[in-house]
Amino acid sequence: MTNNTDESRRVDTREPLGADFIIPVMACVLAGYYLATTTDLVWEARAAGVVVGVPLLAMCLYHMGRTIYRIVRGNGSFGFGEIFEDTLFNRQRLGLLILTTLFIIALPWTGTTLGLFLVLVASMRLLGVTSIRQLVGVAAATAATVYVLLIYLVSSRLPQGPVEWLINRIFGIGA
Amino acid sequence: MDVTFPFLLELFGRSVSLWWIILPGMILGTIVGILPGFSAQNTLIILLPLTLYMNIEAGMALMISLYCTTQLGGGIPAILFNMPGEGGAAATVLDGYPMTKKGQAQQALVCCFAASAFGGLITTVITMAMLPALAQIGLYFRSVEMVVVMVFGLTLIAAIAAQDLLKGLIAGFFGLMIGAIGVDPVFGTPRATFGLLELYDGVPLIPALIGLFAISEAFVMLETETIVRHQDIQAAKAARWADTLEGLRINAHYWWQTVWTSLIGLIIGILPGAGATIAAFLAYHYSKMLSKTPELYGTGHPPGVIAPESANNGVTSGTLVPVFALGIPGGTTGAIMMLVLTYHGVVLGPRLFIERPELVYTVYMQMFVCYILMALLILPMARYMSRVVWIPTKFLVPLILSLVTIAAFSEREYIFDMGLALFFGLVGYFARKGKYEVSALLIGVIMGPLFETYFLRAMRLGQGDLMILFSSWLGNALWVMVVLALFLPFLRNRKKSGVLAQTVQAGHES
Repeated sequence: MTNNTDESRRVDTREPLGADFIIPVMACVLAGYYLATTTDLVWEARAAGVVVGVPLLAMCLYHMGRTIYRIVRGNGSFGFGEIFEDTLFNRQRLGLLILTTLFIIALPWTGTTLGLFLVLVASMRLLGVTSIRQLVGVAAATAATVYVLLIYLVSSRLPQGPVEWLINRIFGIGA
Repeated sequence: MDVTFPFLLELFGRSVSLWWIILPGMILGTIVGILPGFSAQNTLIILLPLTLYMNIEAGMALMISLYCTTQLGGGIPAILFNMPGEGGAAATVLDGYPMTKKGQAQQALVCCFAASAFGGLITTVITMAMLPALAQIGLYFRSVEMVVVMVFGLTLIAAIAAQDLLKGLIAGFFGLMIGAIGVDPVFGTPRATFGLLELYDGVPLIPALIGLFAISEAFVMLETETIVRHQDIQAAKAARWADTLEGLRINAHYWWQTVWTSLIGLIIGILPGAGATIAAFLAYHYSKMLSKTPELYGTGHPPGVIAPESANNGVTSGTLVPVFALGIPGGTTGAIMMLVLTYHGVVLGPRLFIERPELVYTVYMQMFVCYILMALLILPMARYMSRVVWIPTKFLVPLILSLVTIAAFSEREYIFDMGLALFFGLVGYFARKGKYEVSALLIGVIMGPLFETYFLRAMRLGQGDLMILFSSWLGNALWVMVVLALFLPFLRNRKKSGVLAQTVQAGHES
């Protein structure tokens, strides 16, 4: 019993090598997909992809084989280390990713200025900014700068929403 | 094209007339340099919507001034707080901070600024003098050689910048593979587009750049908190004007040091993958090795500040050489500038010197003007800039993330591209965590379409025979260099005490 408890408490000191596989797997998927879906094309259309894809597959397979060999020999583990652990930083990263995704999805409705303001407030709050003055001040100043520089002066086609509509009505812009 | 004195004078006048864009760029660059974690590349990416909108000259002036002064700014926290603002200033810490501890902070800062400004000025003039020779490269580099140059560039990045050669090569080839997505250039058949219409024109480069570099860096950055101790700020405020003059006197005494270490920076800047960090450490190493008093290095010796600072500014001139001469970026900054130039319809590579030689001279003249202004204005002002309030990452990360996501919209004006930038941000984040060289991945993505164009041209020339790639003496010489580059890490690892091993290790640690 005691031994089991000690066993469970033992920290895995092997180097986590799982992260080493992420990029090679992505590369293999892309190269495999490219090669598989271009078999019917004329050689000019697939030549560059083949010249790049085949060595890429070979290098990835060699690297993954080398890494698996290290793990089998006990010099590493399949663990991902801190990448997928439930840590504060990872929760913050995931939160930022979700917030930025929501910002992009909602952009056609919120418009750039309001969307940017909201995503900044939410992101800064997520990272631990508590002062309302700082949250609103930084977000409003940034959103206003982006509006003036990119929408008003540069006339970029960034999505416009209620705030831009209101400003246009008040100042008669674009009338 | 004849480069006459009146021609250069006219370019000088035109560059000076852009002071209204150069000065804000310099101030921004200095601030960005001071802030650890806020790189020149990130700022250039955030400013992309503006630089793409401006005409080429103004856009390049903004980017050049920001980039050049960032290298200078990075030395300020390195000297005052033992915390390099930029990778290129990591070697400045070795003697800069000990000078601060000896009460010579202001002298160290002046040595840093003067060496940066004059080192940059010297290498800019040398590069401008070299430009006619660079123009001749176009006569030798055809499709076959260009294919080999690209392979060589990626190999060199993998060998020098990456910690693991194989991982560096995987990153570079993965980038090339991503660059091969889109319709083929001959028949217009979609390849590996995942059924997405938005990818028919290929992977847009600006969202890829933003994601791989800026977003992934922001995700990593939130793990640190940039806070400077109160007593350090108080020490920085204690400087006097007499110390400034003393610093200038020291710098004049070591003028030759500035000259030759800036040349190291220029040469390293031209090489793909070897950036300011490696240049600065190499310059520091050779400065110490050739010194009559090597034992003083590390104790607060002024040449230990001058050497890395002039070298990291020497890099700025060299960075653009492969972009202009071959149309191939050697690093992230070169890649960003290349994207802006390409967006404006500039055909980079050998033809640039035939079709628009004045553009190349204009850019270097802007750099020249920037360094003159740096010497005149930043030198006396920089000590006040060191008092810039340090921004914690809880503000920086949301600002970078949201602003670069908006910048991703600028190239094609598709909301899809913002999502794509986020996706590449994740790819870049995993690449960083797995220690895959992100710059190799990025440059692979950028070179993918170019590689396909030159490769197809070469294959048509050889009627489908791959041996065409080994048919020219220059191409074969480059293949030999590719093989040598592949052996570089083995040599480096065998001589762990060697200068390259030490500098690369230092570069990775910084």
